Amino acid sequence: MSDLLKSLQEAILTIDEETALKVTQELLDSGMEPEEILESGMTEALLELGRRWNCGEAFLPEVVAAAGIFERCSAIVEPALMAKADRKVSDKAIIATVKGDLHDLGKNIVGAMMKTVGLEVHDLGKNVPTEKIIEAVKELQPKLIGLSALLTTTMPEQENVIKALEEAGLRSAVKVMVGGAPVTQEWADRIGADGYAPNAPEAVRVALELTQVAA
Amino acid sequence: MARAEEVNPNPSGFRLLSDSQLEQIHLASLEILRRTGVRVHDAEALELLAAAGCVVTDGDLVRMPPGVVEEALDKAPSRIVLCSRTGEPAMYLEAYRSYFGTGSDLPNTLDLETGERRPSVLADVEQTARLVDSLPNVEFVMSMAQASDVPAATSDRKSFLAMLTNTIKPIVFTAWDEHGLADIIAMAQTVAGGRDELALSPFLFAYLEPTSPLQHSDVVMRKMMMMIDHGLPFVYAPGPVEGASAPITSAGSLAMANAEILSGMAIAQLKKPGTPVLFGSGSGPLDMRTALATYSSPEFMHHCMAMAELGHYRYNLPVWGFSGCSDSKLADHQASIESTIWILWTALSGANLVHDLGYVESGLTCSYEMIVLCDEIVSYVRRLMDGFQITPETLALDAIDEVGPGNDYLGHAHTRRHFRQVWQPRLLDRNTYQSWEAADKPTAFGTAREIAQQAIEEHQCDPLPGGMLEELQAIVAKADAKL
Repeated sequence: MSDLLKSLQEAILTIDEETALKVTQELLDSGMEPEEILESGMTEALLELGRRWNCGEAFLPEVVAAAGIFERCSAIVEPALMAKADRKVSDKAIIATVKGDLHDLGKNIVGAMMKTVGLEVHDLGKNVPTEKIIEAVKELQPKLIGLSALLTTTMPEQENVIKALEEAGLRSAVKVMVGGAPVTQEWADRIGADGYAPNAPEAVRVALELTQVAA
Repeated sequence: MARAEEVNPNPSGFRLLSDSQLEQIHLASLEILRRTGVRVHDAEALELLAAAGCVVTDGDLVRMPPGVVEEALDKAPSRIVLCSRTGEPAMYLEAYRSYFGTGSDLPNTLDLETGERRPSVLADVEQTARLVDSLPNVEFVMSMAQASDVPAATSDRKSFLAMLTNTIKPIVFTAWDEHGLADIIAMAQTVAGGRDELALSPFLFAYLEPTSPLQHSDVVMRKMMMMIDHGLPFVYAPGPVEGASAPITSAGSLAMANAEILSGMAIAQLKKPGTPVLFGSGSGPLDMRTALATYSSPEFMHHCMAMAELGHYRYNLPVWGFSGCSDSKLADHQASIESTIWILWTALSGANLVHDLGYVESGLTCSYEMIVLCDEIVSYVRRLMDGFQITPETLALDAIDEVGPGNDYLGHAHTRRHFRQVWQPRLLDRNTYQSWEAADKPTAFGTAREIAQQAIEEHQCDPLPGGMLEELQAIVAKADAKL
């Protein structure tokens, strides 16, 4: 591996955003393929962080910050990547807090951690109307949707999204995960979700399982 | 507890923060409200705030001049009285009087027969309420369980009815939205004999919360407005998670949570001056290894102590508290350690309405046994906090002289006069090894389980007056019919 690629990994792992952005640009300027920068540099760093998290060596603020740097480095390589027709795509996941609910903390944590296992995460935000989720599914064709709801009153929105997916003929194309404090496995089963997790580390494990089944 | 009793403002003398430190927190909160502001997702609240002189921009971002906040604070009452279902005064939320109760809406319950963790059901709401009704040191109930066996949309009414029929102790409740709240208030008015009687002697109390950081959601605002319209008391207590939805530092988290409460308080007092609102907040750090919010940590306890002191010394408001809750998955040694520290600490803080007894798994699971164990811990801690009197009679100089050197006090009249004042445990074991062995080696956990089982099977709560249950059930049935 090139020294520059190594220093990109190192910069992401040590939350040195300035260096990470600079090195990403340098790698691109040096003519390296954008896929290699993305996979061997950026993604590899996040995967390493995920491994460290699993053995208790990395902490959540580091994971979230590194995921943020990853996003901004992606913005640098993306134009070059999009220009290539035969690009390899990683599994995509859409996450959102459902309509009526302003709680996005759990969803944000899950989003950051999903990136540490190599998923391409698209965060639609909080208080997201069902129609917007359906549009995003059509456009991005993700393998997975993660729906968060923290209130008993907004939980039914998770069910509404699943129904809307069925009506749009998209249900079989995508796995749906639900989560949030009042959400239980029983609820997930009742509304026909494919997966449920009570916390972020478990959500990542379930997400991987679902996307691999879908592969 | 009789009102006429002497109220010691701070029996232990313990203080975490000085008056000037409390002032620093207060000033920081005012600055957050002036500089950063809060999002208010409710048209009526926005109008009230704008009319009072707040600056509203970007649709719903409200920045508040300090004077608006402080004027509103002056209008909040310094005490709230909660009554039993039968209208008798039950809790004087004032000064350092602490009352303990359970918590609400746990998705899981540790089954009392099998010990297994399973989804909570409506019967858990009924049974925990009946258990609390039988316990001498737990003074109010919350639902404990989030019933998974009834439709979610109307489960708030069913939980409330389940509590009403199984205890006469005051009820701290949650409602999913303003429709659920309207039905719950209607039920309570039926029981109390009308709107005015209920407002004067409320036996119910709503748990409302802002969304951290710095947001007042539309559903909660609508519920708050309805409680205010009916003259009923509530707490507006945030639950920010330090390092996630609040700063990781205790001081920053306190200042921000306090800003959320004060802005909510301002809305409430602008809507109707004199509205009874309990003051308080619960906040602990996110565990950065697991990404889970902890429920028992020194930082969480610091937060609650500081909030209690703000309520007592800066705002003269009654205070909401946390206690008896644990991160342990079981009613085990860890749960006992955490619950005991919590209860002792909260008693020292003098928080008035203290909830969450019997919570395990960081507020996800209900333990019947822990409710009983907490009842015992509260009893123990109350005796500690009571201290002892020093009078000629208790100094016992006559008895000491009469017994003299070398003799014993067992047969002396002074001992007979006072030995019953010594605290006695209900379930902590003090037997000899032999009698403990002969009794099949009971454990505190096992005894707690037996007490819970017995209360659920045998305890009779005072029934509702004839015909009233049907009226209440009709309100619930009407809500179900709309599903």
